[in-house]
Amino acid sequence: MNEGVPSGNRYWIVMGAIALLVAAQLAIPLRYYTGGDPYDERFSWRMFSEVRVVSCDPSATETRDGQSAPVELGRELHEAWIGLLSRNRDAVIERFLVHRCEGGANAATFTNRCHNARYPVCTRDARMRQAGCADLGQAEQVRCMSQVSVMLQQCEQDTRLPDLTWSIACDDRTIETPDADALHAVRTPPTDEGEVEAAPVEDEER
Amino acid sequence: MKARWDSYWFGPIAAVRPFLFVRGVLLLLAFDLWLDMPDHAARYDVAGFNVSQLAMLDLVYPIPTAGLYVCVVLLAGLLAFSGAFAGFTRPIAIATGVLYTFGWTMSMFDSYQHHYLLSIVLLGCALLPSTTSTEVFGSPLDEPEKKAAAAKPAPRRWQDRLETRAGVGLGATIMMCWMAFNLERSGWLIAAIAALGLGATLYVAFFSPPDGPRRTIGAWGYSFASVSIAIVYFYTGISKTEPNWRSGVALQNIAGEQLAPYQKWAESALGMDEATFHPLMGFGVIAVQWVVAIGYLIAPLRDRHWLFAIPGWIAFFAAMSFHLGAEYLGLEIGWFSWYMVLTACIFLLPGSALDAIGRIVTWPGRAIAIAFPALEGERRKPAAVKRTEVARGKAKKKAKKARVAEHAPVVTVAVPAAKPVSLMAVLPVGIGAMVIVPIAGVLLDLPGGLVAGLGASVALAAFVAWRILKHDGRGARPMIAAATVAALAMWLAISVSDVRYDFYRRLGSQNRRQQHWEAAYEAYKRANRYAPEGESRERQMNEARERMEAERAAGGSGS
Repeated sequence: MNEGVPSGNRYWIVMGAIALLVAAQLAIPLRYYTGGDPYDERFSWRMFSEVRVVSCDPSATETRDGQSAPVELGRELHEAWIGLLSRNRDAVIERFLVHRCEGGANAATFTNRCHNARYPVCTRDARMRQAGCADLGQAEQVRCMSQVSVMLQQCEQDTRLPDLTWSIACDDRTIETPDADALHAVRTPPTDEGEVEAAPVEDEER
Repeated sequence: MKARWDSYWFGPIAAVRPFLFVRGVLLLLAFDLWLDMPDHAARYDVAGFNVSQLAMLDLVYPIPTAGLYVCVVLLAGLLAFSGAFAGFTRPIAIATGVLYTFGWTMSMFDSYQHHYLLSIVLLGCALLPSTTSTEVFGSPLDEPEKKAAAAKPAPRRWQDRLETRAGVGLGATIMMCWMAFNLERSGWLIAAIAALGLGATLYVAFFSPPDGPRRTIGAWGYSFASVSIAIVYFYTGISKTEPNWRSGVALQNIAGEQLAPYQKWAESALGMDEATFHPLMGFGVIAVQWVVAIGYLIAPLRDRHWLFAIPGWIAFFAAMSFHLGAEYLGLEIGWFSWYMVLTACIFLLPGSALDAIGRIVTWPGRAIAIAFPALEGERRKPAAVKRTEVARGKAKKKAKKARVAEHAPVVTVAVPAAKPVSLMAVLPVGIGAMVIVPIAGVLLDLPGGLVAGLGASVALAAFVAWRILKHDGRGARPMIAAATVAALAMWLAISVSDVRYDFYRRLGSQNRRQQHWEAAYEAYKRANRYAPEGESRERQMNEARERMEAERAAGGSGS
């Protein structure tokens, strides 16, 4: 019937290869949906996902000879690495901390302060208001723009996610990672338009 | 049940599909590798920091440098281009796939998911049999076959005619879209070539639709590629089911103001308010993904019954709307949309339309084969390509019974046997090519260019030696010609583009940020050599020079 069907053992080898390759392609993205790192969307076909629009402000400090000082990320790394750090890529952050140890630090801490730009109702409104500001006179325009700015700050505050902090003790290279609740807060659905559920108090304080 | 299962994986498909799929992907990939990737190399090996895509790779991979990265992408491009024209696509797809995968896995810099997709696609290509244009479209030299086809033209149904014209017409439209999107970057020469192609395609579509038998092939790699792409769309649909996509907010975020005209139109023409429009668009994106996924899932059956043509067309339009829409929105996703447009055309358009397009795009190669028979590369034993006629009457009933409608194999294509060729007929041209390819690499003025050229020369030498050992020196000639053209195409493509300018200005910027003033100065100096008008980095170069001199002075006074 199908002249192209391989015969004998070759048939089973081909079918085995197909089964293996297709199963792998089905299984690899599943890793994300079954509790994997919410910020690591590689191999999961999540282009332009909600997580991708989380916006974080990265910072790092390190201790050398008992003195703590901020790390100037822009000078130490290529900006593309800073971009990946700000996207909470665990492997990059851990490698960065190890890299600090290799550079002579005694301990290092990396923190991402993130807000969830995925509910940007206020961002959209702000954009519209900004457009409206352009039609006003100069003095009114300045006042209008500053109102928009305040509004955006408020929005950012409303959509804040728990800070995520990684730290390393260089003597034994043990790395402390953020707790799972803080990490998975990004997946928390909104309680209302423009708002996310309030982060746990202990996370806010950290 | 098993028969249906086997039919899905091993049943006949139009031979033009795998042929165009492999060649199209390799060709697009070659230019993607040359034009869109080397300029990012400047970010490698900054402060000795790197993270590979997988932790275990860090143990075996070296710390990537700009030179290594450029070398890998250029070499992969040379291989891909050569394979697209000279055949032997299976080993070429494997080699290109290995190099390409090494290229993007060496660092998390390359985080676009389409790199992963392309590695899977190249695996699919490697699983497809290597076919030649003669096997798929017939050789113009093969007179007896031509006469046989002319004497007994295959009867064609109205669905076939309609599908052919619609398919080719749409192919031409897509070509126009590509021109429109890329006119600024590609320039008038490319636009003129594309316009010629467009004219020829439309001519064939409406005045001279191809008659004659289609050829089919059994290729489980094609079904594998089809299922793989279906999986990608399926999961993409799942990722879009999150609240932000369902509400349409995510799409608004991405599209910005570009959706506004459509929203206004929906409001005025359909009375649809904003609160309905945006969620509808959001759900629309999800629906599109799954419709396309289903289309790809049944794509291997596309040529077997006209009923399969319906979801094929629906999926085709869905895929086009999504990917051309992404280009319209100006998303920064490299050439991803064009890969998906290409695959949608090949998997979802009717085989008869692809046959028409394939005859046009392979015409120059087949014409060269007529003019220079010595260059003709169709020299291997025939692949399992069958010529089939559209079944009628008893044959149709038989075909239905076999559940492989309309594709009863009839004739195996006759291919002229290879003639032995003396070493002296191959070696001079081979050596010439092995010299030209590294020279092209040197002329690029990019780190890794020379090594890529030398690597390609070594690969070519190995190929020529292999063919000579197989007593088929003649079979090496198309590859020698293709490798030479590949090197020239690479040099030309990079020379007329901003790749070198972008690479050196980024390198300068990175060194400037790290206050490596001498390196920054050298990089900016080179960037200026290739700077487009009005984009000189003179100011940055002067700043770097001043800082460099100040540092030297401070160092001198310090000592």
